[in-house]
Amino acid sequence: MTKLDQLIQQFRNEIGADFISTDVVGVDEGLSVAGGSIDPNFNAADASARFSMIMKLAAKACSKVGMGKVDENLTTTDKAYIIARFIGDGSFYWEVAVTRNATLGSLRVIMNEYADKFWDGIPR
Amino acid sequence: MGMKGNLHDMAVADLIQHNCQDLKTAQLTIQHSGQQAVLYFMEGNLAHAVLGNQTGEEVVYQILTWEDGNFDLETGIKPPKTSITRNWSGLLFEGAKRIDENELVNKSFQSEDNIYPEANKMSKLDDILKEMSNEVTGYIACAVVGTDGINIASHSSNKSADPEAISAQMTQLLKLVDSSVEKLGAGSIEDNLTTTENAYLLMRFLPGKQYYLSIAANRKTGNLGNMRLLSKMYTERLSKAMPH
Repeated sequence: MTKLDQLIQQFRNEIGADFISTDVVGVDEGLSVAGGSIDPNFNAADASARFSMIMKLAAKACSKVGMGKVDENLTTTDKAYIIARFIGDGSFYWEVAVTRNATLGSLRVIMNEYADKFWDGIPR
Repeated sequence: MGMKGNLHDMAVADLIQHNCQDLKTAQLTIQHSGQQAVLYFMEGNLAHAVLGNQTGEEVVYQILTWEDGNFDLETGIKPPKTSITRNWSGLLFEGAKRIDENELVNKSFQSEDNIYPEANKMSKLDDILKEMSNEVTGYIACAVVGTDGINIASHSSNKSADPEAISAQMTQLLKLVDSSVEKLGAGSIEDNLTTTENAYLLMRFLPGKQYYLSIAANRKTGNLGNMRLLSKMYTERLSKAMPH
């Protein structure tokens, strides 16, 4: 188990029963380097590819209208919260999906704690 | 396919709205008191207007005051040039405002609501956005935007924020997020919040998903909870005030 896998496991444990999926994804390729989904209906590889496109478009759109660099994108659906956050130099992003029962404020605080650790844990 | 009629049966504002909402490409010729005006629609936009030697927006404002005359609509005819860039709802709103200011409203009508109900509803949307701007912490700008990326109402606290440019860019993002979560089976989207180094940008669909409310707030002074709560409250109000 890599350092990043261990960190992801710790993160999952902190989220608890509301956890659905998390992946650390290369922005350019849209491929996950670590993570996975515990919900068979939520395809982590598909999510990684799709949110890679979303993060690239968000970065481009916000830059064009002078809003500066994108930090994260939070999507709320009737089933889930999905947060995608750029980490490190922005070449990777970290995507987390949790149920609507999760406490959004707590999730963001936990993500703040782990973001730099995840970046350091990416194999290079 | 063409259509002919009388302005008593269908007012100029209704003709414009009808052609734009149906995304038509067409030529509309209107005869009134010996004058002839020609309007050209291109894929739902009013692109060009001619009246004698005049062209552009001013022609539209003038013919909006015409209450009698005949019209002839021919579809499939493209505009020979573009003299109008403002969106159709903005034109109708401005036209209604000018009529009101110049007291050209025919007294036989009891209220402006009878003439341009759609334009009046636009004015209500503007009022609601203005009210919301006073409640959003760190407020920068807000808009009600169609899924075509065009604002139907907007408000901005400073000149550096361009609601039209923001809407055009962010609509693409919202549509991509919407289609992505649907394909992932992750449910039906309620809102999307993008956080940048400078700003929070929240987008929330109005019921029916044809329009959405976008709010931009300062990253340093804005408050996420405040934005999300207000967006829920005001989405309901805006939905009720929307033209149908």
